[in-house]
Amino acid sequence: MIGFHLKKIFTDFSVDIGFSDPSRGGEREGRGHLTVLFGPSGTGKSLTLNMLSGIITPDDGYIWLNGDELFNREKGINVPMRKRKIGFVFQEYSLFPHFTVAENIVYGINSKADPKKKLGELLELFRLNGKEEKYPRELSGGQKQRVAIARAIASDPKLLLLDEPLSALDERIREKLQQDLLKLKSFLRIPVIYVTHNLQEAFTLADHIIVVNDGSIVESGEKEMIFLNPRKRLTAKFLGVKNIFPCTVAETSENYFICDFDGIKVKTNPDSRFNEGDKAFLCIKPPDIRLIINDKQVDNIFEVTVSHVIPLEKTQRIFLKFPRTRFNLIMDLEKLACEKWKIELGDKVKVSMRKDRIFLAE
Amino acid sequence: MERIDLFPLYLSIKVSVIATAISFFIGLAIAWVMAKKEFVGKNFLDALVMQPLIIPPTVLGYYLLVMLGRTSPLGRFLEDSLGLPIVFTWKGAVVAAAVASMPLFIKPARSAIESVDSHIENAARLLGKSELKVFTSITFPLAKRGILTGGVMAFARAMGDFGTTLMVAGNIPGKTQTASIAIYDAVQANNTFLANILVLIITIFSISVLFWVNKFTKGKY
Repeated sequence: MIGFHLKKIFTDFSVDIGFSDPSRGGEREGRGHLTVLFGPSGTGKSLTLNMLSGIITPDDGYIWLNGDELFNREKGINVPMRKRKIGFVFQEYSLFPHFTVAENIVYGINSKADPKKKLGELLELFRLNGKEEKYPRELSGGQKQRVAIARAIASDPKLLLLDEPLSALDERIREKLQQDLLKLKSFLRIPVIYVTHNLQEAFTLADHIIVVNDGSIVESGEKEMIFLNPRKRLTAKFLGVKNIFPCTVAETSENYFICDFDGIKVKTNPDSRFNEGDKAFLCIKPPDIRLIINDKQVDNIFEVTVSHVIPLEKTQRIFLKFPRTRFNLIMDLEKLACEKWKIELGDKVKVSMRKDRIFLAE
Repeated sequence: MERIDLFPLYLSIKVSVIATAISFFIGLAIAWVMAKKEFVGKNFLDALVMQPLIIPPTVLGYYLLVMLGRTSPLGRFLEDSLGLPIVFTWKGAVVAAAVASMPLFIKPARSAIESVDSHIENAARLLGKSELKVFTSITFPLAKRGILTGGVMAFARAMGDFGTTLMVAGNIPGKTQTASIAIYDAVQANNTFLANILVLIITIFSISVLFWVNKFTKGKY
């Protein structure tokens, strides 16, 4: 169980991040719990890991780990790195280049354990059998990172930190390593904090997500909650929501809200955070915008003009212009559907958005 | 054929080996501190340890002579309390060679230690290793090539030292006369044969040392 609040001030950047492990006392007590620090590059995520591990000393704050205080500025506590019992996996592997795979892993095993037995288990777990005598320079990127993870957990850490461990790897290897990490998570009984700016990685691995921007927390919560219903505009933006429009809550009722953006009225589900007249952001994911073929009555029907079409891997991204506004609506449409309905530049089309698929953000 | 006195060669090698060992241990500590630590006065210390490269050898020798001579408190302490007279003994030659060669060891050693990726050292610390263990198991092996280069440079400098050694240890044949000084003496005495022999032996010796060190420290990682 971990809790921390860390502050660090630089001339042009500062970090102020606090977190308390949600597994504490909850149903996940005693189980591995993976928290993803998610956000764009250069927002202080890695810096937070460096402060937790003791590589960088915070200017202020505290760190608790399983009832032990690792850092407390006020009390003058700053446990050195080697005594923190924290496993750390670096982005660029940081293996010992002059040691073999086996030597790298054994280096982390503490003297009480049976190193041979433990080495065998870790080699097995990370699919490294047969690579024991290889040097890091003889391994692929994925293999190197597997050695690095094995080495980090060999020391029986009380907390595991992973700093963008998959970002240097190609897609195929990344997916395999994600499977390894999920397997590891299933039996690891310690909190894990994982830094990434990759949305898919965050979704696959996280139990809990902390969205970070500019050195502070934008929003944090259980993965499902954050992904399905982000409450902040920045979270929606980082999660890839393309349609975010400033709006005013024009009408409230028990069953729906009417929001107004640039004269366009949009019906949404009610949201207890907002009252009539409040400013908010309307967020709509591109796949949630539907083309209307027949005039079946649904929520939020708009007539728009196709202004751009960008082909994506499986879909076409279609930019739709509202009449008399500066806003573009972005919709993703299957390529087949595009061909079937002959969507072309300049076409006028009708689209709809279900009110329960639109959410409001602060 | 004239009998060649090999004592100066023997003394030069002995003095250089001991001086290099001293440079190695003291210099390694200084190089590590300079490479890895930030502290007030670091620039001053840097300038100080590099001084022997800049100031004339005779000036350096004069400083050592004053510092270690019988008239100085340190010199008196060494001679009276420890029975270790330095000035005009072969030990003086060791001190002179060590001081003169130290910067040549520190410079490449420091660069090599600095170039060891701090993430790798931090990885070792996070696995529970002490600073000493991190140094001996990670930093040193990875910086080995640069440190050995420093050792070779220091050894070569110690072998070739003339001015500083002459000032501190003097030129006493059979006692403090090193090869460099013997070559000078031979040339002064018009003994070209002896000078040629000594020069040849020192040249072959120096090239061999460099060759073997290069062979053994070929980069692996």
